[in-house]
This record gives sequence, structure tokens and C-alpha cells, in this order.
Amino acid sequence: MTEWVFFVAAPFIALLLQGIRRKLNARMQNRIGPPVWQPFLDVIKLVQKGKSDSEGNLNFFFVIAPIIFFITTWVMFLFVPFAIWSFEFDFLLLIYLTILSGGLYVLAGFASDSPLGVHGAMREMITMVVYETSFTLCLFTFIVISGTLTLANYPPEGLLLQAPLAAVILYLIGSIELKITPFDTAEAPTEILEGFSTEFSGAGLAFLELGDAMKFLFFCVFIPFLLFGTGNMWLFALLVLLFVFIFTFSKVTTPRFRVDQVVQVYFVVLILAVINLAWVII
Amino acid sequence: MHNTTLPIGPQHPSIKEPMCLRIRLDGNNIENADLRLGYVHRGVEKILEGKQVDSALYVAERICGICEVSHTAAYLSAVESAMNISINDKVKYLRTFLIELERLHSHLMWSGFLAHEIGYETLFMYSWRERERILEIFDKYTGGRVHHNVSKIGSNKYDLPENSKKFIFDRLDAVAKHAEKYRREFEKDNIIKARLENVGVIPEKEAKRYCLVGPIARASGYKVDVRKDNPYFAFDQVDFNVITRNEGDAWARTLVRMDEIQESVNIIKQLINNMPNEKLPKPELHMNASGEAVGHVEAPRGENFYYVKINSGYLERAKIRTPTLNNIIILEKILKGYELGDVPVIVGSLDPCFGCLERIMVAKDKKIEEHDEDSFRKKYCEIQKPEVSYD
Repeated sequence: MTEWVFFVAAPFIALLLQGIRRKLNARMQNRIGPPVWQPFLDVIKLVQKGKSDSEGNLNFFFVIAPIIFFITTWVMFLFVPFAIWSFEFDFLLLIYLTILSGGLYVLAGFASDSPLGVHGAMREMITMVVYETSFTLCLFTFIVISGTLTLANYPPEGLLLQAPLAAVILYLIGSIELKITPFDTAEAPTEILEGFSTEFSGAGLAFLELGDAMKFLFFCVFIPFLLFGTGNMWLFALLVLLFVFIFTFSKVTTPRFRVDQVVQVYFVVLILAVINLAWVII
Repeated sequence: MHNTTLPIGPQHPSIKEPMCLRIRLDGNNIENADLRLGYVHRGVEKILEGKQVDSALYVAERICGICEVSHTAAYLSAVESAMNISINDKVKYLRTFLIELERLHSHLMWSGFLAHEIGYETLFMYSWRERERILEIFDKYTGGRVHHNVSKIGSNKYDLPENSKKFIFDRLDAVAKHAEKYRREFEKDNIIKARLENVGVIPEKEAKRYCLVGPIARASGYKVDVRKDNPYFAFDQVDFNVITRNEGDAWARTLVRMDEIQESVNIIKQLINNMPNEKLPKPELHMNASGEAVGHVEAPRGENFYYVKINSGYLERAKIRTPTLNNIIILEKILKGYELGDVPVIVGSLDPCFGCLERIMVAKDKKIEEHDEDSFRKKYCEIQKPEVSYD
């Protein structure tokens, strides 16, 4: 029952976490910041608004990409942190889904038919080549250690001690997946006006924002799930909040890398991921 | 996705005032850039013409919001030397005090702005908090945070309020302390260095060739500063260094400005400590003076130059050359070869101020006409004499 409640409430929890994150962000920057429920108001307002009539946006993918992006990120909560839908090889499906949600972001950028959106999508594609590979290799480490391809059988005490290097890799991958500085090059508001979402408006933008918020929640849940396990639910919830704080702190205290510099950093991460996997296998 | 043209502006988060930069991209690299201006043109020089010298001061004060004092001071310097008015030491000190406060506020605002360009929102918020302290000093002295209206020809409206020394020193100390911290951040932070170093490099030779002024020239090793080269007001009575660096990149331009903040704080402290005990002369109207002169002032962005010609108390001609006009010309050249992510950094590091810059350019019928002084006057300023027939 708890599993299903969490799954259904995931969008709301995600928006609440966004609110907490924005408030934290503001307090660290010496501002008052918006109220915690502001993301709910934002989404409600966006849904009520009409969509843009630009001719370039009248294509099928432009309409469908945000909705599939939202659904894909929601479906990921069927597997993590509670294995609601469990079958053999569901670990691999989850890896595929996380990559798909990044891919849909790229699709949204290309479909928006704007040079800014296309540049955002290009930057995301360039970096995806490196970081998704590292992400997959890093997750293979956990598969090798736990010896299971089913998330329901994942050890509830977590695998931090067996693969400490993976913690660093997962944090860095989380930063770039969630577009958190210093790795938010694909969005870069002062360079390409947030790239993907520039042309979106109304309900499409609301779905993109919801999807973003849920992706943030997913990574805040997934990293503690892999490293610390779900043995003690209170500890797990605390760790989720800790990761919200860590990601917010990273966003507040760092400037942004250029795209070539991001790729350089993630080549190092890729090498680390290979070393990590090799070390575990040997 | 090769060869796209990307418009940056007129409305864009990386520029604080309207301009349009059309960038031709080959993949992610800039092939060439085309700068289009004219969005805030107001014809200020024409407005100044024919105005009585005392009332023209109000127009000069409103040319720019950031370097308001520099425009006022340059105008006053030109007008006073044209009319042979000598000002006493008190007025000189007060004007110098305002000019340096303005440099502090402009540099702090700019450093926050550059931090925002590279995605460092926190430094942006913190820098602007320090700027707020300077605005408090402005508010205490002039009653206005941005527009001050305290200068008069040959005099100043008010003296510094009594017992304001502690108020000012407290704020200056806080600003100096925090600015030093932010300077360290700009100097030591690896990501900031990775973004700013070797970006938008201007060698000294190019700086001289393009007649660059202000911190941009000084960051390329070209030591040019009106405060030292041709001291005006009380700058010959204070002790300060002209900050220069030799790298010529965006990082050097940042550090030059951050160092100038400390120098400005020192100058202001010297001015307050040595403030003469004279009375301010009573402001008066100047109805019959004539003459012709130039005035120049080191604004936060470089040399601000005014030429005025006065005929019987009225301005016959006023010519303004602002530092951004000198500095913006090199923008298209230094953008070439860098990539799209460097555009905000390069544009930001030049610190353009379009309110100052745009005075002679006409946007009409979707075509931009560029004029020199004479053709502009011929086309738009000549009064068409009505044809009178005596038949």
C-alpha cells in the first residue's frame, strides 16, 4: 500500500522538494525566496495558459515530447525505491528509462525548431555520449556486486562499502543529469536561454517542469537506494533530504563550465567508472 | 546544424541593456559577429543644444543611470573651464568623493553581473549586497540612490551631513573586506579561471590601436588613466596607484576592476580625512558667459569626454564621447574564433553601457543608418527654412 501511495504522490513530493530546494537556494544567497508551495502555483498557472501559435512549433514531436518525458520519469518510480513492478532484468529497463528521459529532452529541443533549442539539444547530446556511458558502467558495478538483475532482490543494507568510488561517480552523474552547476551547460540561461524549454509554453512547459522536478526526486532517491539501501525507512528519508541539500549546495556554490570543459571532466569520470568496474570484477 | 545565425538580443539575459549581436556560427564556433545598436537612442546631443547651461546640466545628469556622476562631472568641468569659473577645494573634494563612490558601485555591480554570466548566482547576489552599502552612502549624502542632483556650476548643493564620517567609514570597511573576499574567489576558483582565462584576449598593441580606455586598456598593460595623466578636481591631492595587468583577457579585466575597488576605498578615505573646512559658494545662474572648452573625467568604464561651445549662456554645441564608444568597437574582432559559451563572458568583460553609447545612430524603416557628425546634422538637425516669397 505504501508503495502505491508513494508512486501516486511522486509528482507532489517532487514539487514540494522543488519548493524546499528553491527556499534553501534563496536562504544561501541571502534572499527570502518564494514560499515552499510556489512550484505548485507555477504548474497550475502554466496549465491554465494557452500554448504558443508559432508555426515552427506545429509538429507532432513538439506536442508529444514533454508528455512522454513526464510519463517516463514517473514510470521510473515503479522500480525505485519500492519494487512495485518487479521482473527479471528490470534493472536494465531502469537504466534504459533514465537514458530515454535524457533522450526525450533532446527530442524536445530539436522539435522546438529554434536555434537556441537545437543548441541546447546538441550540447546535451555531446555530453550524453560520455556521461550515460559512465552511468551505465557505474550501475553495472552494482549489478556485479549484488549479483542480481532484479531490483526487488537488491540488498537492503546498500553497497557503499563495496564500491566507495561509485558514490563519487553517481554524484557527478546526478549533477549533470539534473542540470546542476557546474554541469548545467545544456541549459545555460545566459548563453542559450535554457535551450530546450525556450520555445515551450503553457501545458507543454508545465510537463517539462514537472518532469524535471520528478527527475530531481528520482536521483535524490536512487543514489541513497543504491548506496545505503532501504533497510531503515527513516534513515532513507533523511538521506534523500541530505541529497537535496548537497545538490542545492553544489548549485549555489559553483559557476558553470563550458561544454568542452564538461566533456573533459566526464572523460575523467568515464575512466573512473571503468576502473571502478574493473576493480569490482577482479 | 552548420552555419546558423543566432541573435543575441535585443532582449537576452546575458546583456543588461538592449543591443543585438547576430552571431554566425560554424557548429559551436563563432565565424563572425555583427553588432547592431540603436535601441536606446535618444538624441541627447541635439537635446542639449540651445539649452541654457544651468538647465542643460539636468539633461547631462540623465544620460546614464550607472555613470551619472561622471557625465555631470565631465559636463561641469567643460562648462566651468569654458566660462573661466574657478571652484574651491571643498567643491573639488566633494565631486571627487562622488566620482569614486560611483566607481565603487559600478565595479561591484559589474562583478556581480559577470558572476551571473558564468552561472554563479550567489556571487551575483553577494556583490549586489555590497553595492547596496554604497547606495546607502549616496542616499545619506544626496537623498537619491541612483540620481543625485547635487552638482551645480561652480558649486555643490549640499555639504556632507554632520557626523557622517563613521557612517561612511563603516560601510567602506565592510565593502573593502567583502570585495577582497570576492576578488580571491575570482582569482583562485578553478572553474571561474577556466571560464575567464585566455578568453577575449586583447594584446597591448591592439588596445593602443583601437584607442581603448579604462580598465579594459589597463588589463592589456596600456597604462591610461585620466586621473593620473591629467588630474582634475582633487585627484592631484590624493595618493593612489593605477592598476594594470598584462594578460589582456577577461580574467585580467576582472581582477583590474576588483583591485580598483580597493584603490577607490583608499581614495575616499583620504578625501574624507582631508576634507577642507571651507564654505560652499552659493550657486548662481550664468546667463551671459561665452566660451568653448573640453572636459574629461575617468568614468568607471574609462575616459568620458565632453566638448561644449557656449554662446551668451546657451549651449551652441555639445559633443559627448563615452568610454563604451571606444571599447565596443573591438567586440566583433575579439569574438571571432571563440565559441558560443564565451559570448556572455566577452561581452560582459567589456562592460558596455548602451545608455551612454547611443547618441548618434538612427533606426528608421527597419534600416539602420550610421552617420558621422556632419551627415547626421545635415539630415536631421538642420532647420528647414521656410521659403518666403515676396510676390
